[in-house]
Amino acid sequence: MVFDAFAFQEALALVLRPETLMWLALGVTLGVGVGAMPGLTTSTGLALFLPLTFGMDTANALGLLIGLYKGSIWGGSISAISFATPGAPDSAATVYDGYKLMEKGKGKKAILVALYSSVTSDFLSDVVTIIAAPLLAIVALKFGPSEKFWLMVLAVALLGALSGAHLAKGMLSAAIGLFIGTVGTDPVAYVERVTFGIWWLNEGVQLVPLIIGIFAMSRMLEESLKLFIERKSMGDMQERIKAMFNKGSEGLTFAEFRSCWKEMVIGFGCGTIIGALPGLGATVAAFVSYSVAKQVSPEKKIGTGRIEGIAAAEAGNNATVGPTLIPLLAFGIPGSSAAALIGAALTLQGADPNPRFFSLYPEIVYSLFMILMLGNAFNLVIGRVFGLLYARLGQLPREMLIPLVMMMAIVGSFVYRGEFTDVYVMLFFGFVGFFLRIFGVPEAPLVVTYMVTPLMEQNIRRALLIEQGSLFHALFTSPLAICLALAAVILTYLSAKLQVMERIAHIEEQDAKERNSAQEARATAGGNQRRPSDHIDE
Amino acid sequence: MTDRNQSDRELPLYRTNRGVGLLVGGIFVLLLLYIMLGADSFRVLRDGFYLGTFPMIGAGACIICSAVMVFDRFRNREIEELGDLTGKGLVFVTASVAAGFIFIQLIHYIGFGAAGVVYLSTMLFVSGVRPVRNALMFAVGMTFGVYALFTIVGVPLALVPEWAGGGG
Repeated sequence: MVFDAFAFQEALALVLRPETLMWLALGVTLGVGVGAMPGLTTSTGLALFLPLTFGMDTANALGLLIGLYKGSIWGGSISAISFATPGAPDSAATVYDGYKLMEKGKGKKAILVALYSSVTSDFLSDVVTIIAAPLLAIVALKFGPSEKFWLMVLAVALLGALSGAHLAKGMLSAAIGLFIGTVGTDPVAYVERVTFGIWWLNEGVQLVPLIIGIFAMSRMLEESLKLFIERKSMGDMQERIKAMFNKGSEGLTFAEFRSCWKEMVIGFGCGTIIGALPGLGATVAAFVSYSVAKQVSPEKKIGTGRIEGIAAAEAGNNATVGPTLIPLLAFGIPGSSAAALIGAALTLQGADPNPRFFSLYPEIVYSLFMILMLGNAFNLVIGRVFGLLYARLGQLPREMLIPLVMMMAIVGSFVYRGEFTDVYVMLFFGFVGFFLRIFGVPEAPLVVTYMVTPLMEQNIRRALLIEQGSLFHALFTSPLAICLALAAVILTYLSAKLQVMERIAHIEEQDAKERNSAQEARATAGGNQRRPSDHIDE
Repeated sequence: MTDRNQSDRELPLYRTNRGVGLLVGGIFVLLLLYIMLGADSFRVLRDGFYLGTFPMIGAGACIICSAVMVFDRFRNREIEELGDLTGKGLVFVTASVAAGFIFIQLIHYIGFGAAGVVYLSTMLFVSGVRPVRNALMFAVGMTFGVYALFTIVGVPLALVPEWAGGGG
């Protein structure tokens, strides 16, 4: 990609407008809140706020969503440290050391090291994204329809294989996405198909209701069911959180922060690589970084309440934020649910991510890069000023949160086009998504495959036309296409054989069990603890 | 999701991966039949492609993955969350979805303001917020909060219905 000075200036003017900066600040503020509240994940937050971007221009929309994304990844560490309950799975690895520090009365120090390591690593990985994405886009431009088809198959296979502990369930999710992506009309001849006799399905399943249903509504249904079954107590954390605000509470010195450099480098390296690969994501990055840091520096006794452990985990998960956008920007293929949601926002703005994205919309690319970088500064300032206040958000009763999020999901899918049918679709996929969650089928492969299915079909049919109907030649037109096809098969086989995700899931499960037993022990010792709902009763 | 190793005799089929595989596979077999028996599925398009090829590939892939779930090494593992999903829970979740459906219909008839308060106060009450007065107060506040949020971003909602002079 040749540097376009005019587009750069345009992007600079767009991003530095007070309104864009305001949306970015609001995005980060909301994002940290979303991350800090157990039950709300990054994907839920992004899906929920996606409808708000309809009326905005592209820079404002990106400001809100990228800010929210960055903020929520870090925000998860707040409740992980404060309550041993990660706001999102991305921060589960932070619990090991974070909560132990909290119990020692060093919660402020733990939150600050999480913030600084997150921002540092996020910034460095954004630099890598800015360098790598345009270079890969140049490579992607050389791809023909056959290569593009196989690249999408490879991405979907990786996403399916690496999205959960059970390969068949990941692949099932991708297959369901493939099926949903074919509903409506075929993407080449625009002939109606698989509409089940419902006229409004002629236009296919709309992206926004699907996303809100799968990521937001289904999660809220699951949370409301949990609430229905058991009322979990947050425990007697009030006093400890209050202690964090005391002037005498131990903060973080620069020397302490500097002592974590090795763990931050590990987190940055692991997070950047894992983030750029489809399917793995922030949770895996955090666990891998944490495990590597533990192996590399056994003398630091990571896991016993050390700031180095927090630094490794938080640097690992935040380093995925920028790189997860690389496949989306370079190839037009979202590699994660967050990338799919940001891709959806770009599509709604009329800028479909594809290999020509850099030449077609340079001002959007530059805006995105600037927002990525600026987002770190906002994350740092907002996190530093309000970080400790967010710890109180974790105590926000779920009884209030769940109905509110459900209402936002319904209204958000309605205002998208002003069609009641979109709400029906959202509710349907909320219900389907709920069962997928219960069955343990990951949702990200479904949404990503749904998004790339029309492109896959277009490309294979274009390849067939070029090769005059010969399927073999259309599929294996070049050595690169053959390599990509082989890579899809081999990587899927290896992920099944090596049981990578099963091992990671096992570690997470053990961790969750330890946390639960610790919380139960505290609850038993605490005796007459108050339920979250008791706060409302008063 | 968490899977737990259990022996065959201890667990009912529906709580294992095998049961889920059979259920999902069954649904997609029916869908595949629906597509294959459809009038246009084997219609040849101008580029020589069958109209139903990709939907059939999609449904077929779902069946294959479900079949793998029925026979792979995780087939007898328990899906713990299914154990939590009692009949009551299922009714609760279905009712929550139905409440969303009723809410959107109510917006049409009585406007977002009143519909939002009715929906939220009901949901808050069902979720455990007591007394009713608190549920109502929170519902009013949240409804107007959501209204304000969407208005700020340039997507105004009709506070009152069309027949009462609202935007509809």
